[in-house]
Amino acid sequence: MTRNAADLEIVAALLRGEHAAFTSLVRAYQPACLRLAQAWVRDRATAAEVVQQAWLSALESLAMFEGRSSLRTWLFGIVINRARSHIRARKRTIPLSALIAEEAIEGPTVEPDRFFHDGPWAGHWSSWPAPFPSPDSPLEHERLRALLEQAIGALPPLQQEVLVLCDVEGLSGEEACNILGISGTHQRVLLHRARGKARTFLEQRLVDKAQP
Amino acid sequence: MSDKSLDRCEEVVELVNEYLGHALSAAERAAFEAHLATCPPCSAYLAQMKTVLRLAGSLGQAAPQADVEQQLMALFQHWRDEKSR
Repeated sequence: MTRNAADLEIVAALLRGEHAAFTSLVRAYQPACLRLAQAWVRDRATAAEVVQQAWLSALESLAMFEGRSSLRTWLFGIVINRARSHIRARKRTIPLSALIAEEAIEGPTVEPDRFFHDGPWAGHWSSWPAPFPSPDSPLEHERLRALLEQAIGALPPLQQEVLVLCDVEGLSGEEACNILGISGTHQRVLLHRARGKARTFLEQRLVDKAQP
Repeated sequence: MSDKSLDRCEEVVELVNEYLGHALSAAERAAFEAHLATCPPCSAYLAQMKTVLRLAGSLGQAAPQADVEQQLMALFQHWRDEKSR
């Protein structure tokens, strides 16, 4: 069954009031919905309320779902709109274009002082990146996951959402663009910067910089 | 990027995401991999980035908390009851 046909079947089951269909959706997408809401609404309890409102909005507009996007994309879009509206109602409105201008700035991914600036080794590492601990052991995996959660939480909203959509949830760049209402160029820059900052965050907490 | 050799590490690190996303041309990819073959710190940088992506992918496998799931099921029941009125 194609994803589109599977989505339409889930929608039909929800409209028939089948609990199992809703349970499977909640289990699949609630953690991602909470992450996406927290990009804008930092307080976890408030973000959870925003997500709950988004689920209700989704249920109430379910009959209008036509399958032009995937159910997941549609749901994530509702969550993000709800979270942005929540912030707009409480703060000065910041247009999306201003946020893009602020967050999608081209610039070096690695701090320039990590490279030699002149001499025969100009442009080469002066302070080498050391390997991260392997996430293969369950204990180390949990520690690294917790650090990455912190790193994601420290990103500005659009970078956070692009990273969650593309790297945590595995959506394509095009799907992320459709949900966030941004161009492909901006999506690539935001993801590039978000990954770079996440790496730097982990490196600063995990390793001493090795010298060549 | 032009199709030439990649010497400077500070240029290589800017291409890591495109490399991982298979967005480099064949010539760019060859130059990138040739640099990596002789540059341990850039290889270490790439490995760090791969770890970040692997960990990020594992975050998506989390399950919702049981109490949250119960609240949402109550929400669904309420919606269902309202709809059938």
